[in-house]
Formats: sequence, structure tokens, C-alpha cells
Amino acid sequence: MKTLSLSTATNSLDLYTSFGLSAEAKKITSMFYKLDSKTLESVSLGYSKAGALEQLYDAFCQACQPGWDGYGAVPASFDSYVQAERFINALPANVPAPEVAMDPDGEVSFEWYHGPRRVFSISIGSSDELTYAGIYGSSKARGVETFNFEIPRVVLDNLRRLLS
Amino acid sequence: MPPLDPAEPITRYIFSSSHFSGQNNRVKHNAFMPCSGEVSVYRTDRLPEPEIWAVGQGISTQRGQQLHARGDLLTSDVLSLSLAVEPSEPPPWHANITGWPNEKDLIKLKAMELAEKAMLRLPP
Repeated sequence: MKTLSLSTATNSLDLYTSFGLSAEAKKITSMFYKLDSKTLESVSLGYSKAGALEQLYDAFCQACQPGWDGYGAVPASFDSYVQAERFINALPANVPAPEVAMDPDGEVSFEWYHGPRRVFSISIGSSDELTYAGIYGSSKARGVETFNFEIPRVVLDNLRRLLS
Repeated sequence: MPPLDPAEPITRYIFSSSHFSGQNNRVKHNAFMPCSGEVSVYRTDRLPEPEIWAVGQGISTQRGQQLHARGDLLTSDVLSLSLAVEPSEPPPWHANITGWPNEKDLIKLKAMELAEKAMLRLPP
């Protein structure tokens, strides 16, 4: 049976797919699932995530046709939607919900806006690659990271920098 | 088609409701992300405000997309990011922001800088 630490498990969709087949394992999986569902329902912890998921659905529906932006944008793929959903679910509960939008290349964009010249954004598509950029006053950051069901450390560091 | 003066105003018509925030009164960077290496804009110098909206409405009708807003910039805002604005008619007053890099993270950063400088305008 694969063992996951609580911190890993609560940040990963692996939680629901990687446990063993024993009755105990299934029970634990079910308990974690219920706990996570309750968290999503909770106003204090989950409201923002639920809102982000709703925004994602709306943005995806608007971007399903070629040229959805009026200029020739690529339609969003379902794989991008799934990856974006995984990203939202992997966000720690203490991170504010991002604003969701679509990029013309069909990727999903998450943005945290904290006032003029204080903004951080990531884009995620159907692959495991995510692209990020941030503006913090006169400083800037950008890069590419791999998303494997857990939010990359550098993304969390940028969010801390933005929100501090 | 004369080249654009750095002080010349340009506008980006926005047809996606997720590309601006009325709540924060700002254009989001996604509105300035290039498609096929270009961002389509319109020159608005000496055009009265109703005429600027009429141009956008014309595009809206032609493409079957609702015009939600526009983002106004100065050409100098674009040039300061080592991008260019090239006239591209027809249609009249049309131009493209060109010179985008290949790396998406750098494209994103430049689009974010443009969004910071853009003034959100909502239809009357």
C-alpha cells in the first residue's frame, strides 16, 4: 500500500486514486474525500475554491469555440480544463481564490490581483507545464514549472511575496 | 498609412467578459496576449468617443461577439516594452502590436505590463 503523509495527501488528487485495496484503506480514502468535500462547502475554507471552480466552468464554456475572443483564439481543450481543476483543488486553503480567465492559446489563466503593480498569474494547459509571471512594484518574476498535482514551491513563494 | 507617433492613442476592443474586471476597474493581461504573434488594436487619435465605440460595435456585429469593453493605451506604452505597433489596414485605423518574444512567460509579463498601463473603458 502506498503511504502518503497528510500534508501531501491534502494537497493532491492522488489521495483518491493511490491508496491500497484493503477495507481500511478504502475507509480512509472515503473519510478524506468527505473531509475535503466538507472543506469545499465551508465558507471559511472552501468558498473561494468553489467560486474559482465556478469561474473556471464559466470561462471554459465561453472559450469552447474557435475565435471566442473575437480575434481567432484557440478553443480551450477539456484536458486544459481538467488540469486547471486539479490546480484549484491543489491550492492550499489559506490562499485566496484566483480570478480565472482564458488565454488566446486555449490555456487557463489564474490571476491574483493585489492592487496596481502587485499581480501574479499562472497559465496552465493540457500538459504538466505551467507558466507564471508576477509584478511586485518595480520587481518582476517569471518562469516555467512542472505541475504534478502539487503546487510548485516557487509558485507558493510568489504568492507569499504578493500577499505579504 | 503613416507610422504611429509615440503619443498616439490606441485601443484594444474586448469581446471576452473574463478579460477585464469591472469591480477593480481594470483590463486583465489576457486581453493583451497575442494570437499568431499579434495583438489587434485600433488607432483612435482624433476620433470622437462615439466613433471609437461605433468601430468596436462594427467589429462586434461582423464577428458575432458581444463588445464588453475596451482598453486604451498610448503607443509609447507599447514601445517602452520593446514591442512595436504597426499600421495594418484595412480595416481603417487598424494596427497590430508586434515584436512579441517566443517564451510564454515573457509574453505574459509584457501583457501584464500593458494591462497595468491600460485604461478600462466600458460601453455607454
